[in-house]
Amino acid sequence: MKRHKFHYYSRNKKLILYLTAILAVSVLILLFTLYSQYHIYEITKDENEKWYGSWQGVVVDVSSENEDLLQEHELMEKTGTTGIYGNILSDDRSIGLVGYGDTQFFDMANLDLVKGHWPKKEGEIVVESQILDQLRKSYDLQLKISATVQTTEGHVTKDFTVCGIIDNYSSTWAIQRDFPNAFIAQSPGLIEQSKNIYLIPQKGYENILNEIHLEKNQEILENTAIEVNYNPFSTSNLSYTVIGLFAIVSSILLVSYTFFQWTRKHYKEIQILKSLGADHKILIKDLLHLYSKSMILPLFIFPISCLWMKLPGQMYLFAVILFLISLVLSILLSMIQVFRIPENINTYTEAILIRTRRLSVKQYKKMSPFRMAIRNIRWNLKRKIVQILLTSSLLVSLLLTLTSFNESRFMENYYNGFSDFLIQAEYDSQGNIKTIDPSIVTKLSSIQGVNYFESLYLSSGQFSVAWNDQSQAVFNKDFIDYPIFQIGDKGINQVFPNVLYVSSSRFKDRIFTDIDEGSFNEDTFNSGEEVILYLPAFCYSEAKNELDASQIYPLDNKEDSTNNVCTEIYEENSIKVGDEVTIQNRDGQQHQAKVQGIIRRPLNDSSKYDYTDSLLLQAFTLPYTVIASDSFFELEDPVSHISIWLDSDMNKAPIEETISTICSNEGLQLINKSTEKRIEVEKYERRVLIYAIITALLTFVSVMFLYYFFKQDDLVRMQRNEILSQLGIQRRKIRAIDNYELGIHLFCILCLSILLYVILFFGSHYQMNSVVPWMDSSFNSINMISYPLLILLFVGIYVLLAKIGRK
Amino acid sequence: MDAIVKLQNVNKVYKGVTKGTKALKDCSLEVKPSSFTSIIGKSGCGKSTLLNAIGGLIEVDSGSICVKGTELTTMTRGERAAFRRNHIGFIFQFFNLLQELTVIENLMIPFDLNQQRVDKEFMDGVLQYLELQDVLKKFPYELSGGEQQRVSIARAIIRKPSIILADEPTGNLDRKNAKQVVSLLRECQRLYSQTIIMVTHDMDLAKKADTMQYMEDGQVMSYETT
Repeated sequence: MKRHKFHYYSRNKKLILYLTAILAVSVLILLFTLYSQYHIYEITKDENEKWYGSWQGVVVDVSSENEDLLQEHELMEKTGTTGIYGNILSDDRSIGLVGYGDTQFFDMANLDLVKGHWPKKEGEIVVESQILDQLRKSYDLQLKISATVQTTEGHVTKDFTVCGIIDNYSSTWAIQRDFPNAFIAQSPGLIEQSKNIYLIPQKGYENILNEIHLEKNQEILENTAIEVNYNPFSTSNLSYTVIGLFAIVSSILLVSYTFFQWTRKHYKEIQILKSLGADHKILIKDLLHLYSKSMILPLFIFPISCLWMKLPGQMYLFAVILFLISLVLSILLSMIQVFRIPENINTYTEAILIRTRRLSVKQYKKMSPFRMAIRNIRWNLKRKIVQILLTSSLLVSLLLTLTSFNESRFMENYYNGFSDFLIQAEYDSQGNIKTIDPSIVTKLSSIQGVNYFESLYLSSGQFSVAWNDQSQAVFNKDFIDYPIFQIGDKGINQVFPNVLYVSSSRFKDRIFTDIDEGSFNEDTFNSGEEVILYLPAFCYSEAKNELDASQIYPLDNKEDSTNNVCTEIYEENSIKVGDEVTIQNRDGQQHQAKVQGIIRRPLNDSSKYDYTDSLLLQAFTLPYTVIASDSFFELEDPVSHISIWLDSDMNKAPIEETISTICSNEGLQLINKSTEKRIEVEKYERRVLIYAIITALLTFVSVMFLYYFFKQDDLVRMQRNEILSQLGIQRRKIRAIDNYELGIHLFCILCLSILLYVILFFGSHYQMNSVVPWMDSSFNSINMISYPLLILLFVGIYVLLAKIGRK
Repeated sequence: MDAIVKLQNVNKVYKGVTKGTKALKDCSLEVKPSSFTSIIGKSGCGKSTLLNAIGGLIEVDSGSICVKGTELTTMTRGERAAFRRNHIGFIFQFFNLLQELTVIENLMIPFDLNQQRVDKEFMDGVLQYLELQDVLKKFPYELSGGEQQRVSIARAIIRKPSIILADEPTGNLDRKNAKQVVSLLRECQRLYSQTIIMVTHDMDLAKKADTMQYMEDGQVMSYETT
């Protein structure tokens, strides 16, 4: 005879459907968070390898013995070499190294040709664009450049034809030593001056680089730029970590919650079953059967998602363990609920809530809608706690995602703020900076694809400034060892400040509204009779050793400065408004002008500027700056520095070529930073997009959760309100109870979320041992209101769903 | 003596899940003041709907419901709630006590939320009569079914309504408690001169009323006045 199996829970399709949906969503959220973290890790690693090379160690100027040792090392997966043949010359001065690289090196270096091809025959050369910039040459192929190389006949200068151009890689690599700045084909006729060997150990043996002992005191230098340490609490990972934890906690709570709600609804049936002899063993078996049915879809999703997401085995195992733990906890909680139902059928009542909780009500107090709301929350405390916890964790996840979004957006803007090109006029033989022809300025500014353009005239170290009380100046009383201060005649030292002219009204507004002493008089300033001085208090940081250099910089805040950073803090007070200053250039020409005003507040704070490396920002890196009109220089609207920002969606290659051609023709110095900038901008653009998607997904999950909670609450609420209505309680009072309850609920969620957010956010930064670099700036901008806006949106959705969820 | 409750040709059709179910069909009824009327009938014959209509808990489709000389069918929902507050008390089969409130809080909630004053002396008398003094601080789940129904009766009475509507007040009680509850209702009606309309399907209990009405298919069949 076929034995009849007991099925009660496990044949309830609706319950199975609910549990399946919850478990499947939990699995997806959990896998998504792991995938996101892994994805970010992988992307960062790939980006670093792309930009800084995939080699993990290098031996610079390697000896032949060590080269053989490393080439033949059994744990080495790949080795590449570069050799140096000589130097690229500009005016008999070396501006870079010329050499070769083997195929393995180019595989590891990930160098992309901007144009042209790699050298195939003798006489061809591929150069970094910065070499062409330094040579004042355009980015054209077939150009001739000279290099000294060593042959068997000694050092000879040879001409090479540019066959390809690469981005500047060598200046960004972690170790800035002896990398070729230009590549030629390997030639037996040329003698290597030095050779580098680049190493990639076999997977799992990365530590071997620390264990290999080389001869002749040579060492393996590690490529620190490609090291990516996974930290789940870093600012970029924290939101995912919290979402992952939320997925686990919510699956436990939500499964138990759903089961609890269902048990409440079927209290009578379960009681009858128990009274008819269904013991705990049978019920547990049935319960396990229920969960096994509900697990079919999640278990199906698990491997498919992992394969699709290409998660590594360990991560997959970790996710499975986490999920199983949460499932076991959920089953245990469900069992407890089943055990608690009494077998005695006589205790059954039709009331939906059967409570045995003893609330502490000391004495009768007049009931108000508020007290009634509080009592209702106390009465349903466990359910409310589950709801508040889940909703708060959702809100915290949203806030943390918003933080990551804001941080990425800030970084995107920060890198977007860097100019793509910096163009500077040459210095003449006397050391005076030349001016750029106005027609060239116009030409550069009108190139299609130029998004923003800055220009000014800035001379550093060209002019010395003298005034009556100069002997009382801080650099005379206490000589400061820094290039702008120089020992003068008769024991009176001299200062060579920055001298600045700005034509842009935007720049003028920025400067002339910040005058602290005196006031701006446009007529006398424009006539060149008067000048403005920038004299903030400054920090002098003395060089600690021979490799270091002394530094001076304007102090942001005198009180905040610490003595361990500044050797001394100075303030120049020997010069006052109305004093006459004599400014002399290197040719001995003198100009006299009166001090019209003095700016004391530091102007070097990048957060005050729309552009990260605004020229104006560069002009105020020194505490001594003279701001004068073009009449003062006896020049008409001079320009010495230009910064160019490109449209981010423009193809930069043709613009680069145009600019480099102009600069090369005009003998202007070009610094091209467009590639580095785009890599960073694109990295953060991608993150902004990911965080925006997560925010949208989380908002959707929040809406679903809240709706579910309100629907669940509605049953109890309706029952209470029906009784109150039968008792003739005014509708507005009933509504007031509902609203108070909603308000208290919301208040608890907001308090808990904000508290958790603050703890997690600052805890994360404390743990990362970092300050919050982007907060000061970003909190001044629109980001500051994004948090209250998000909270308002959440409150809006909450209230709306509460109204919709209520019948 | 004029009827305190007068229904004329009342019709009520439930829409929705029970689409087209006629709960009341040209239903008419008259109840005299300070009387105890019982309404009996099979399940689904419209007894509870009739009681809810008299209490202003539901809107009817047509007909007239006049309670204490006031026409309920022309009132708004708010006005009906106010009318109920002042003139009608309810007693239900499942007691309808708020589980999260103690007995005293359950009794006082209509007064507290509506900011009305309670007649303390009257309330003490009712509590004494219903033997509820010792359970005032308890929660409903701590009481027996009979005790819970007595709390429900006390809650209806202490507001001094002219009419008490009892919807199967003994349905969830054993025989002994059921008899006690009906006796209490009868006694309250006598002591406080209240009009009681009780719905039941227990013929023995219904017979204890002054008037017994029989309902079938949404109509009061044995329409008689006492």
